[in-house]
Amino acid sequence: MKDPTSRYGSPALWLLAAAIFLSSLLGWFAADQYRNAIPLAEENLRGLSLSLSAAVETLAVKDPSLFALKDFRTRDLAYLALLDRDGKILYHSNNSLVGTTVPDQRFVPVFSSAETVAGRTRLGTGEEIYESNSPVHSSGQVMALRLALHTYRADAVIRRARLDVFVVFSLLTTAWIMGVFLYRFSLRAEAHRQEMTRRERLAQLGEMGAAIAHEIRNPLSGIKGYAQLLQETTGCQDDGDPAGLIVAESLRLERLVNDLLVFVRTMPPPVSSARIADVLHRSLDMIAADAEGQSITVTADLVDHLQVRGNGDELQQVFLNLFRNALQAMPGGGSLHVRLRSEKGAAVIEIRDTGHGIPEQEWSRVFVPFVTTRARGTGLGLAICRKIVEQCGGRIQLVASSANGTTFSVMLPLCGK
Amino acid sequence: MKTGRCIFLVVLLMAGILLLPSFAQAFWGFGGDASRERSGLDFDSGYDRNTETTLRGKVVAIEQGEGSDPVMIMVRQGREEFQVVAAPAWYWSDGGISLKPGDELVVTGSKAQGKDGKIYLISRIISNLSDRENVTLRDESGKPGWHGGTRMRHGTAGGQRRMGGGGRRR
Repeated sequence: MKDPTSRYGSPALWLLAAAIFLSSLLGWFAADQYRNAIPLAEENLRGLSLSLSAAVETLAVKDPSLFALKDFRTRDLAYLALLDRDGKILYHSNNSLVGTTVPDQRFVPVFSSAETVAGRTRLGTGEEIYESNSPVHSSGQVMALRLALHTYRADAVIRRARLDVFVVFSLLTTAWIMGVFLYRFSLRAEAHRQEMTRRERLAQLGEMGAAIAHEIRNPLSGIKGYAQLLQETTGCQDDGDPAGLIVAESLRLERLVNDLLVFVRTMPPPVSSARIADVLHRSLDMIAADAEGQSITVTADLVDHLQVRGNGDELQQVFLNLFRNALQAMPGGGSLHVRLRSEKGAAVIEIRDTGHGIPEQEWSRVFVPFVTTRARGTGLGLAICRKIVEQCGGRIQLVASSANGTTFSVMLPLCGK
Repeated sequence: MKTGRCIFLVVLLMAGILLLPSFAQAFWGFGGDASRERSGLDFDSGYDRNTETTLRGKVVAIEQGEGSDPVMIMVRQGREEFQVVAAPAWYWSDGGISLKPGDELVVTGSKAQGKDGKIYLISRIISNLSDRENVTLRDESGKPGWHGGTRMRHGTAGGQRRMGGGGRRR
């Protein structure tokens, strides 16, 4: 089991924080540009209306009949009108409106406080325009000049800023998507690298183990044989006498060598299948006597019909190892529960005991060969389990462990899946 | 790996929402395809006498709309081009005058600049000088014939006669 904090260690967190900071900075910059563009456009329109007002006033002074305004045209001008203090139109770019009265009162401050009133409003066509009402003096008479300006050209800065915001946010979104892809890719590459390192290490270990096992096996048989002969000769069958101790230790060494040979053996992918409930029943029968001797209650909840890919004898070894570990974790009695169910095209076997549990710092290493928490353990049991299960295309994991017990889960693909 | 997948899905979801057509139009201001939406103008009942003007030019192209879409006439005057908004297609098909590219037109209408930067002329009277026909689509206040204003009137060199039209049919 992998320590979940290692993946999101401080470098990744720092990188994420930096990315969020930079994204926020760019987002803020784009939004600020957009916010500043609006007053800039207003300033442009204000400047334009002041220039046009000055030009109109000059023409009105030169020609008090206002006839000269007839040819006054600019690209940004929607219309212009000169009003008296009653709102009556004295001049209008649409000549047919001269003599009528404007329906609004927006010109009133021009006469009451001699100030220019300007802002955006909407015409009957739906177009948004910039309208300014300013005082104009001609022949001793004060008039209100109403200028309506198209905003399209002045609003170019706003449109540009809006486009910038769009581009920045699109780039940021793309960058984040790519970043997530790269992050996922790097995680996979790292997992692959670790797996390759593990396999390489196991291969080296296997070569060394196989050599040692072969060298030990023959002399060990001799030692065990002579010790058993000595036991028979002396007639003492007690494990406490020296010959008995030699036999017991020889048997332990023999198990270690056998485990080692199983562990290093190259196994081809399984071609056979096994009825997993039968395998579990056989394994449970084999530990039944030991469980009873230790006052351990064994219960099983097994779905009967599941057929998995794998060799029955090898799978039996997996469950025997797991069950024996469970029994060893409950020296003072307890309960062992085995559950088999079908889930997403796989058989899932859950083995739960009420033993003393595995220390948290050992969780990530329980399947590593030669790592054991027991004084006389070989540290190969769970490593062998993992090897056999993975060979069958399955997965074994330590689901949970505490002072109240441990739960292991084995997932094996069903036949034909 | 689960956290990575969650981040990935959240980013995808955000990108999807931002690029949804309706959301994009509201957020970014793009996405509509009809000229009415692009211009931001009210072609159906919009009119403003303040900007009423008369222009003369040649027909460059005619875009026949469908149903309530307006018939649009592109008119060139010197180096400038105007989009003349005539009337909804259903109303125009009832008795609009015949137009073809190259015809000389005189159009009186309310001038407006759309959000797309184009100059539109929401027409009140269209006169085809080539065929010596004219049609009145709105009354003097700008109320359209299809909304109960002055009915569509045709005129010729010899005078004017009433044609169909009237209230909205659909």
